[in-house]
Amino acid sequence: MHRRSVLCSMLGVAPVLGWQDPLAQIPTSAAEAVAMGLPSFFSVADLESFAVLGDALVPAFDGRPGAREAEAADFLDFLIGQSPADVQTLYRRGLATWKLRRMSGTDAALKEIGEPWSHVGPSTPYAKFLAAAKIAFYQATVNSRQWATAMSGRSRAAAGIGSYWLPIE
Amino acid sequence: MKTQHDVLIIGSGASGGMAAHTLTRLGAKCVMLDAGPLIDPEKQRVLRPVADLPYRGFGKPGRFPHVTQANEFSANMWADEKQNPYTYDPEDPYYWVRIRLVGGKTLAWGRASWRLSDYEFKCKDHDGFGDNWPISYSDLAPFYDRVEPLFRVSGRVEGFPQLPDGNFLLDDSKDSECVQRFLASCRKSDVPTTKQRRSTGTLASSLNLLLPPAIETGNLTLVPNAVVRELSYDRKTGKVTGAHFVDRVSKREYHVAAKAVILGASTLESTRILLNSNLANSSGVLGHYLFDQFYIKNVVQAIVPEARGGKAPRTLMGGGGYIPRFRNLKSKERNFLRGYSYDFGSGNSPGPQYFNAYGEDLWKKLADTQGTGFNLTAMGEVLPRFENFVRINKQKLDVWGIPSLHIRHKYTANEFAMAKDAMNTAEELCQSSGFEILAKHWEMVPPGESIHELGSCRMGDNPKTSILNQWNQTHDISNLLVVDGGAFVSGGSQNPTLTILALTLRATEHLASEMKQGKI
Repeated sequence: MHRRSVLCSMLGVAPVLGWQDPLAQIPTSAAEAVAMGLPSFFSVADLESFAVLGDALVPAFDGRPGAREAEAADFLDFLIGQSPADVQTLYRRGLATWKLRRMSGTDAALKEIGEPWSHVGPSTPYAKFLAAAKIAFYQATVNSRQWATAMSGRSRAAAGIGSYWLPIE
Repeated sequence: MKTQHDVLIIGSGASGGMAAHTLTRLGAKCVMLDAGPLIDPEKQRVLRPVADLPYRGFGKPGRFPHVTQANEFSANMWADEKQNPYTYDPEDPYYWVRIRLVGGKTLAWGRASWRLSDYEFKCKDHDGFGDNWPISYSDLAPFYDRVEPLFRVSGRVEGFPQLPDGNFLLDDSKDSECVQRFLASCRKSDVPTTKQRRSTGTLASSLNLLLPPAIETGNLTLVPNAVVRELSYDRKTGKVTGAHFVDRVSKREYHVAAKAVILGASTLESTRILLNSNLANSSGVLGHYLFDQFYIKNVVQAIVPEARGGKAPRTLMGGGGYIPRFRNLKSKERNFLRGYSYDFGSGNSPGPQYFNAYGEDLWKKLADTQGTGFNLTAMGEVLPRFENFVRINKQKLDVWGIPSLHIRHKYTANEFAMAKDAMNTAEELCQSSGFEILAKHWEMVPPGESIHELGSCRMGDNPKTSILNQWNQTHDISNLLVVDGGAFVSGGSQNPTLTILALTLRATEHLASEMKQGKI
């Protein structure tokens, strides 16, 4: 009889209570890696227009995934849906203008991105929208898992690994 | 009846930690309350790819409207703004940035460790504005000498009167070629430069440098999750007797008794506790003379042209330094009082916001300028003014039912004039170094965002115009001290933590001496 079993019988407890069973590492997946997020802010038609804008601002280039490959429009639709009202208004009105101006061609519709940099931001609401969308699409692209996978061969920093603070009670 | 402790210390950051470190080693039995939990920073953090975060690094929208430093990685470290509300007039926003954990903001500070000089301590003598401190540099120098080794401050000895040298770990690291070019331009323009002076080590916090030695003495009892409601006061003796606090989690109410009370809860929290206690304000200036240091982040973003296209030799890019105040030292030479300093660095990659391009053109520009950046951040002195103040807002309570602060802080023409000068000077220095200017601006971050809030409970010789005497004791109540940034009379443009540490060391040694003599 093992020593542990002797001790357990003396204490009157089942041997199983004395064991510490190691828990095997169980791999998991983020939902975004296996499923499509459902639209939450834009309509399906507007979301496609938004994705076209993302494609124009941040296209795939030289082996880098673009906004479309990174599903950045879907993610930003979710993010904007949770954002304060002023942000939602900026995007809703800006996208409406983009849809109108795009009829004259993509470059014409994006002309206002050419404004010189200013700390206070662009001069018109539409230019503000374009500037905000450019940064948002860029960030959503380079922070995506598609980017991390595609760029892992080029750069150790591609995965964007950071030190994450766990929630505190 | 529970034990009456010798000293109650409220707060566990730079000032509270330094108070505990000093007093426990001198034999005082101390109890420390902190509003937050005790965490192990190593176990509290895990490495994660940004793509695995629910918001791809953007963070939950609207969670931290006033904490621009918070990202999705660090979000759980910052104090929750809904639990800990405050108010301001909508046209004058104030960004109050807080950490409520044992160790306080020393868990995440920038570690810059500069001394103040008599340009700050005797500022009124120098230019006639404001008030002098009740101490001079020579009073505090011996205490700076002792806290610098404790925080393992590295730096370079320079002999600048406006930035006194210290007891450093010598930094004799070489400068990259682009930094050398910049330093040469500064010399031509009579602009002083030096290496950064920083606290070193993997963690440079009250949590690892101050609290463990205090605990080892057996004289410190630490109570986390203790949110102080107000101090208790005996009208017969004219002394404070302890503090009422509420448990952060259970919300059970408590009282702790002590012979002396030290507030080190941070500039605004200490003032809030005093205001909520209706104590130490016979002068009527408690809450007033709030100031900070204004920041202009990336006042100039330039690039080093020789580094374009990934062609930088290994010795060209990297590193940075510091420019101490150089304006108005000998005479009034500009259309503003006082001065500003800069942090500068090289080797960053300018972000997409700096290029008025999109699509493939944007990608090409980003690739071309990767690692070519040279940028400066300006930090300017904000003049302390009576009109900038905090008061209690009884209509707005935190989740523990404690009245919150209403904060009023506006920058004035002096700060705006200084900010413009900082932009123009940075541009000139970059141009004469042969750098290309990508962007320049002089828009200061909102008051508070620099996390260098100071004043509101200032020292002074005159009890009618100040709250604290030269030993950080309140004029009204001798067994009540405030040792954090609230005590500052002026702040210069130097990061304040080192001065908070030195002031606390000086004040608490004096308190221990008075207690031994039976004066308290």
